[in-house]
Amino acid sequence: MRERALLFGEAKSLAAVITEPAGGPDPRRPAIVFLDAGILHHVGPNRVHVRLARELARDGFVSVRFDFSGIGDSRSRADALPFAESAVAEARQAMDVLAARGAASFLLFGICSGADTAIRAALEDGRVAGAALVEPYLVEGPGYTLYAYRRKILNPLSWWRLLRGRSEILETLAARRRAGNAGGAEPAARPGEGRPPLEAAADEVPLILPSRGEAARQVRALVEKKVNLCFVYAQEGPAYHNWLVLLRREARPAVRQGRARLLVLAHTDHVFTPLAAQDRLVAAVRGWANDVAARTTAG
Amino acid sequence: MRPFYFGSSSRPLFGVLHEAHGARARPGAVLCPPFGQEALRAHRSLRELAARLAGAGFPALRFDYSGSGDSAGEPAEARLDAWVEDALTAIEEVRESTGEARVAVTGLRLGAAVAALAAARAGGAAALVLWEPVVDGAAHLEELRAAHAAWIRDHAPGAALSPDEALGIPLPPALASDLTGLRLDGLEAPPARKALVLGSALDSPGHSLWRNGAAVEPRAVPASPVWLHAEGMARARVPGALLDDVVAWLAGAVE
Repeated sequence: MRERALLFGEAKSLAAVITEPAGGPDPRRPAIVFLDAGILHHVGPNRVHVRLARELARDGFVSVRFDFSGIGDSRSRADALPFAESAVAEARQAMDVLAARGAASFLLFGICSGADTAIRAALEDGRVAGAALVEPYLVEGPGYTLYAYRRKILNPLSWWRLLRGRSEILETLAARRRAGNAGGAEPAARPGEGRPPLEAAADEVPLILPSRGEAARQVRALVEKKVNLCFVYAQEGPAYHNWLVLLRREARPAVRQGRARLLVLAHTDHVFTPLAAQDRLVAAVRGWANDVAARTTAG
Repeated sequence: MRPFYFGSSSRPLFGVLHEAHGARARPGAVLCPPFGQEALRAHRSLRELAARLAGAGFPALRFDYSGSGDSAGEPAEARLDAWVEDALTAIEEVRESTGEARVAVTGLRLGAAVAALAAARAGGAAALVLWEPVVDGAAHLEELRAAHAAWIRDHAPGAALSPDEALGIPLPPALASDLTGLRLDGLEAPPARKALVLGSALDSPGHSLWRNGAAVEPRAVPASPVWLHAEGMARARVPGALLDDVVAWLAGAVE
């Protein structure tokens, strides 16, 4: 496995690391592009992009992980292109970097907002053969609250905590009541953290969440384009709830035809903090990438 | 801002060099990140510090320890001593690129301990900034494990709790043992011509470091825990005034 760092893009402002198999990339395999999750830089949440890149290199895949403009190690853009557009354009430029080195097709990998960008890039760029979408569309849809409570009520630990007067359900309800008119829930500060005298950095990543109708249309379009898909979810979260009530039926034809698969992980958070969850995520994506490569080669 | 790999070809380190563009040339600066999840969260602030240093004439090098970030190596094999060696490699890299032996070294949290140990091993730094330094490694280990347990309880209930992981990052037994043995106050003298110790509480353990050293300035600063989980995935905040103070102090220290 070899890695090298580079700058790419029109202004040579985008920082990237290319990971190649020791014997050079297998040209029959699609190349992988990792997309930033929120403001977390290109190593990925809990460094999972690095781990995946290196394990995929052992299977013959070349990959690039890079930072969108203004994120991580990349400079901000000089123009005022909105993030929704610049992120897709920069994802396509990252593909161009690997295309210049012989890659003909691509698999995109994104967590959270990285998955949302992967969806839009896959719809725009015909070179995308597949996308691993981890926790896409992180928005609480109608019915999520009930879903979350029902799951907690079925959890014996919740009952234990309720009986001990430490119920998360009660705490959540109380917090929601308090936040009721405040225009949205702010994550509760931990004891001792307080509110530090911090200034906002130059960039923030706006969550570009499509309407529910648009999300369903996007997944339908990916299915119609025959893009290979791997959905990965944390079982308790709002993204999985959206899958159940909104996206599952759109993806069904692709699931039936073997072009889409689903992994749902219990006992994990949105960014796969438990190492056991990371192990399963990495194994699933690696297996999927190899299956897509085999199918693409066979086809 | 130029990303590159440096050091041994068998175990290269990833770094980002912020080239100096200030009015006057100053010595190189090396920035040592904290451990694990704290490094991911503090990435933006350290980038911003490096950028401000470069603007003041310090070529500034950020880097990842072996087995972390983009550097080579397995996180399960991480050792504190190897990280100190990595910091020394970064110091050498900056010395070579600037052609000047003097280097300013800055570290945040566990990175401050790494910075001090590397400066001592290098025979002393021109200037040393310890930002909320980890002075007692055993206490840091306890804090990491408590934060991990709290996160799992609140965000991934039901997940197995392992002592070998901390907030999404492996914390192998050998590294835990290294942390247990870490006492920064075991260094008898400040390993720098001048040192600045920034702590957010008056009783911050860093403030007692080298108390009698005339060259050491303890400074109480407002709490800016840029290494914590709290800020989420969609925004980053940096303590701009604190970073400007660090740059101004370093500029004075290397005069």
